[in-house]
Order: sequence, then structure tokens, then C-alpha cells
Amino acid sequence: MKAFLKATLLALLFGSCLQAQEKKTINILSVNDMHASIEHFPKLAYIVDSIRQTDPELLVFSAGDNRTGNPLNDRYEDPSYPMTALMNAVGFNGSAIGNHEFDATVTGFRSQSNQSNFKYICANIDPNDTLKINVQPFKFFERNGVRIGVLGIIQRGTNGLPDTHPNNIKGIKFYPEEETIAKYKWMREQCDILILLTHCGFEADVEFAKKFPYFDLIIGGHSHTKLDKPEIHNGVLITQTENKLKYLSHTQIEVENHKVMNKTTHLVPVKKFNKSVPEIQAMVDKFSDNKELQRPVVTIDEDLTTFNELGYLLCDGLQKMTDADIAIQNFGGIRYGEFPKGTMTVNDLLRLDPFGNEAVMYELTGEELKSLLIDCRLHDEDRSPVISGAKYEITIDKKNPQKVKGLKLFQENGKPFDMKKRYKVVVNSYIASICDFPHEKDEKSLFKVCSDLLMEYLENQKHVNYKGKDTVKEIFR
Amino acid sequence: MNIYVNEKKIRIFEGAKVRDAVTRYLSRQKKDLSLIHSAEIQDKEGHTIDLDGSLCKESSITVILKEQ
Repeated sequence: MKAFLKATLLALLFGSCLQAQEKKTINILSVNDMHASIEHFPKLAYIVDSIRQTDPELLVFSAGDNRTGNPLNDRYEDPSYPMTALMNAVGFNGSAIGNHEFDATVTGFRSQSNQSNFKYICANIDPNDTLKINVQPFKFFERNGVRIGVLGIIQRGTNGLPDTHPNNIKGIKFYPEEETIAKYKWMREQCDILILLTHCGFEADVEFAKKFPYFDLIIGGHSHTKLDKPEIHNGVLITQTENKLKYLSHTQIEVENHKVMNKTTHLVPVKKFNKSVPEIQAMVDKFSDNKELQRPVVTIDEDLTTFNELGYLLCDGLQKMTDADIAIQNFGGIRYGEFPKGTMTVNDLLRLDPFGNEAVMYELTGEELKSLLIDCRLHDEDRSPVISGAKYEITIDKKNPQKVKGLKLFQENGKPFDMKKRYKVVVNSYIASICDFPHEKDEKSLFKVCSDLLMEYLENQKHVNYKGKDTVKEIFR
Repeated sequence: MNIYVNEKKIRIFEGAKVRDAVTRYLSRQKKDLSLIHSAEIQDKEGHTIDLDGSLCKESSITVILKEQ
């Protein structure tokens, strides 16, 4: 009997040793900043399915910014439903929250997060319970006897909020990234592999690796960085796949006796991959047949026949929606100069302003505004910008159109303009990039796309008439 | 905010993306703005970054132009 017990114990011990020594490889696929590239999902699905066939325990993560960048998704009847449905079909296991997740406001993200079969993971966010957003700070996964912990983090800008318009995130508190990460150090003791799923940018991820070396892997996004070789900082592997599904990252982590023994990652091209899953292609085709683009937005009461009239339409919406005193539109950014009276559709508006530029707000004195207008003209092939909320008269050297001899501002009703007063002036981010003029106060992005603002404005107007609107007088002398 | 493009300090609006900073840089260098589409852009560690990538204060990027 003694001999039997001894043999059994030895067998058990030997067995457990064998089990303990068994190497296990955890496969993780990750993407970031997909920005609604639904067209690449059939290829992504093929790659994911292929790897899942050899490893059914595969984990798939997104590091956020799943939406924004494709009207087929962002302007879907239920905004971002196509991306959510496709991520569900591919079988994502979790996603960080990107700043663009809030572009359709809390309401949009509520719908997006509640329709997802996977969890949005973010620890430095505290949504009021009444908002009913489906998010959790961390999540543990069990794969082949290995316990994997994932902690999510979103970036915050200098104002302590993610890069989105403050109105988009009403009712949500955001906490400092590093303080939050430190609070979850206990997760290390509860899992074999610890992953930080961030939407903070590569530079921030490197800092996280320096300060929190107990993570095995950081899956990052936000800076759209292509990390084509394994990046190990302070022992922490960092991965990021540029954007828009150009690549996915395949990370393999080898675990033995509950310890990470080896880890590596490489990029797999998605966009250039030549095989796809027909069922997912059928979903994309369905989403691409988007009736939303043909939806009427506003009725134009009289034929618009000049670039300035259509430019004024762009300015007026931007100005009203941002509570600015003045809005400016570069002439080259008005993509057509005629529109017949009748219905203007979503597609017509996106053709008029197809750039996806964000609105940027300045606080300028009259003198600074003058400099902006002159600089904008100089950088726009000597075409004078359109303005709403004011009008101006510009005197140009008839022999040299690059030379502006003078510019006189007026209130829109023709009355004198107070040049010393400070005005809220809104422009698109292209103007804010090309115009390099002296001004005292720093300008800021409003993190709102100009065409979205315009659409919202016009939808509320039902009818508009900009016939004859011309706030710019050019004098060649 | 200030950021650095090819080691040149550029003041640009808060919330600017890589595209905005490169546009400002090309404009200041009096270069054809369409060069942005063929330019290779790298972060301070030499990693490729996309034009839609976000920037933060004091970010440093390198623009390698492929002249047409």
C-alpha cells in the first residue's frame, strides 16, 4: 500500500511537473485607428480566420478610434453600426476607447458600445451610470490555462479631456493616465500576461513602459505609428500598426510555468492582402449601398451661381454652430461654384467640402484678422477668402496680384469695424495650417469636422437662401 | 503649441495633426503642398507615422520629401 501511494504521488508530481513545464503560446492580433476602413474588413477577416483555425484561442484587440473617417460608417442611420457589426463578425475580444469614439457624442458611443459583442476597456473614464455606456476598466481572459489581464487607457489633451469637442463627452469624467495605471498594479499578481491597451500615442506608450515595467505588452494607437519591428522598451513590448487597416500586428507570447518566457510581434499587411471572406464582403457591400448619402439636408431657395455664395454657405454654418463672431473659408476649399435651387443632399454637401478638416478657433483683434485674411489669400493662389460675420474690401496691385495694397474691414451691415476688439474667428484646419501670421493668443482645434457642423446647421434650417451673398470686394488698382 | 519639424520649431494650433504640421512646414519652406502626399514622415525614433496621426506639445517629426 505504501509503495502504491508513493508511486501515485510520484506520478502526480511528475505529471504536474510535466504540465508546469509545458510551453504555451498565446496569439494576439491587434489593430488601431481603423477609422472606419470597412472596405478592408473582408481581408482582415480572412487573416483572422486563418490564424484562428490553428489557434481557436486567439485574442483580437483594437486600440481605439474604430470610427470616423468614412461617411459610409459615420453617417449610417445608426452611426458606426457598420464598424460595430463588422468587428462583431470578425470576433474582436476587446477595444480601447479612442478619442474619436465620441465624435457622434455620448449617444453615438452608447449605441456603439452596447451593440458590440466585445468590451470597450478603459480605466481612466468614469461615465455617469445614467449614460449607460458599456465600458469596463479591465478584463481578464483565460486562454489555454493562461490568464491574461487587459487594462485600457484613453489619452487626455492639455485640457484634461480626450481630443474631442467637450460637448461630445458631457457627463463623463476622465482621470490622469499614469495615476490610473498605477492603481491597477494588483492586476500583475492575478494574471500570467498583463497587457496595457492604450489610445495615447507611441511617445506616451514609451513613457508608460519606463514607469510600469511590469506590463508584458502595450498595444497602442492614436499617433498612427508603424512599428514594423518588435519594440522593447524597459522590457515591455510595444506594438502599433499605423492606421486604416494597412496592417495588423501578430504578437506571440510564450508562457511557461505562468511566466512569460518569450514575446515577439510582427506586422501583417491587410490592405494589400489578396484574399477575403465572401460573407464579410457581402456585409461591406450592403453597408456601402448607403441611402444616407442621398438623404435631403436642406432646400436651396434660389440658384447659387458663384463660389462666393457657396463659400458663404460654408462660412455661415461654421460660424453659427461654433458661436463664433466671424468665419473664414479659403476660396480653394469651395469645391464647386454652382448649385441649382432645390434639394441639397448629404452627398452634395460632402462634395462641397470633402476634406474632413476640423474647425479651429482663434481669438483675434481686428488687426490680426486683417493679417489672417491677407495671409490666407497669399497662400491660396491669390484668391481672396470668403467671410461671414463681417465684410471686407481688399485693394490689390493690378500689376502684381500677390501684392495687397490695403484691406478694410466692416461689420456685415456695412457699419465701421472695431479694430481693437477681440473676435472669435473660426476657420478650417487647412487655413490654420497654411496661415502663418502674427497673433497673440493661441488658437485651438474644436475637434469637430467642418462638414459635420455644416450639415447639422443646415438640417435645422430646412430652407436657406444665399443668393447674392458676397462679403468680399476686390479692387484692382 | 510648439512642435518640431525637421528640427525647425513650428507654432501650430492645439489639437493639430501630423498633416497640419507638415502643411505648415511645407508652406513655410515655400514648397509645393502636394509633396505632402509622397512624403515619408517619421517620429523622433524613426518610425513611420501617418498624416492623420496626432501630435502633442513638443512633438518632433521628420519629413523626408520625395521631390517630383
